[in-house]
Amino acid sequence: MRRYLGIGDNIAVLEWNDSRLGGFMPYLFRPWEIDQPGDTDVAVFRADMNGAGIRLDLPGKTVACPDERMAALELEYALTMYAQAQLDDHVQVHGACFGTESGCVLIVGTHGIGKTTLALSAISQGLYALSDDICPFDHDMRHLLGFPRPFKVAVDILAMNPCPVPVDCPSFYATADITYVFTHEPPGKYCADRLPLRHILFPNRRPGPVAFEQMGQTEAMQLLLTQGFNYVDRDSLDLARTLLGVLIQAPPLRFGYGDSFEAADAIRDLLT
Amino acid sequence: MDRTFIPRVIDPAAIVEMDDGVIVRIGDTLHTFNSTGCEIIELFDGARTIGDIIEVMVARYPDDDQVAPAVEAFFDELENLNMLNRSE
Repeated sequence: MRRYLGIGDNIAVLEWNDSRLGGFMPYLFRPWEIDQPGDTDVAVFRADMNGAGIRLDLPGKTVACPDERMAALELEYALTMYAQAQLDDHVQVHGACFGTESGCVLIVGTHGIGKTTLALSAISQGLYALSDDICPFDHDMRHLLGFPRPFKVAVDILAMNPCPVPVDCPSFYATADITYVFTHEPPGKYCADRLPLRHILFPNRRPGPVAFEQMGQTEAMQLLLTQGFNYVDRDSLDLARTLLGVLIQAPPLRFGYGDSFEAADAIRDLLT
Repeated sequence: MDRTFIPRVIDPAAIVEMDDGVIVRIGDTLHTFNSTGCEIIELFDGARTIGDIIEVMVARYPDDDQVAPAVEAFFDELENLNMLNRSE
């Protein structure tokens, strides 16, 4: 079994030899799937199930996995790293991104503040997901691109009532901390390929009603650099100049909320 | 704080101005300053001493008796961050 993915200017091929790997192999980065290319170099990601487990042949290394769960973790990680490298000429922000046909918001905040839960809540309220964790800008720096990596959802989110995960999104349990939820399935229902950025939101979790508050560029820039980028990029003056243009066309807002479903509703109203 | 110290002019290419502050690259690190810090940095002309700069700021805000200590505190912070470079 084989699938080709077009990522940036390059092509990756996913191959697997056993239908028991069908719980995740067919879904990995599916929006990027393309027809079989002609005579061109491809990066190979191959999973061979045998009596000893699963052997993964990945670009630059081979990994022996005892079961499908470990294989899924290794494959997703390798594909994500490969995809990020192919999109290296795009500014990539750590955050979550979702929206409507009219535009999207970029949520930037510290680890654990609830970006994934908020994004899932938004999807269950009818908004489109673009990405969770890795949010690439288009070259025009006005649109964000979909990065169809599966959402990594912990058991406490799955246990929420109501649960923010749509029931018709395929999922694959890997560990207690990671159930992969493929929000780009069914195709076109819960995800978008590219949307214009309307606002950058900096969440503040606290009890009470949802509230948006204007922010100055200085505070927003400081938060964006420290929470949205790695230690190397956050000291790049060129990046700061580029991001200033983004802050001008997508005004930053401080965003207080307690309930993620109410927050998602408020964001949809904000985008109207 | 040595008020005779003359801060070096900051290269305009190392500055990104925003609506309420400024980002300055000093060495390998970006530093963010609010509008008041921005105002002080703009007075670094390679000739003014710290004392001169404090006098300018006090003259701009004559009704605010906290200006001089605030500007001194700003320079103390710059010194603590090893960001004060003497003009040649």
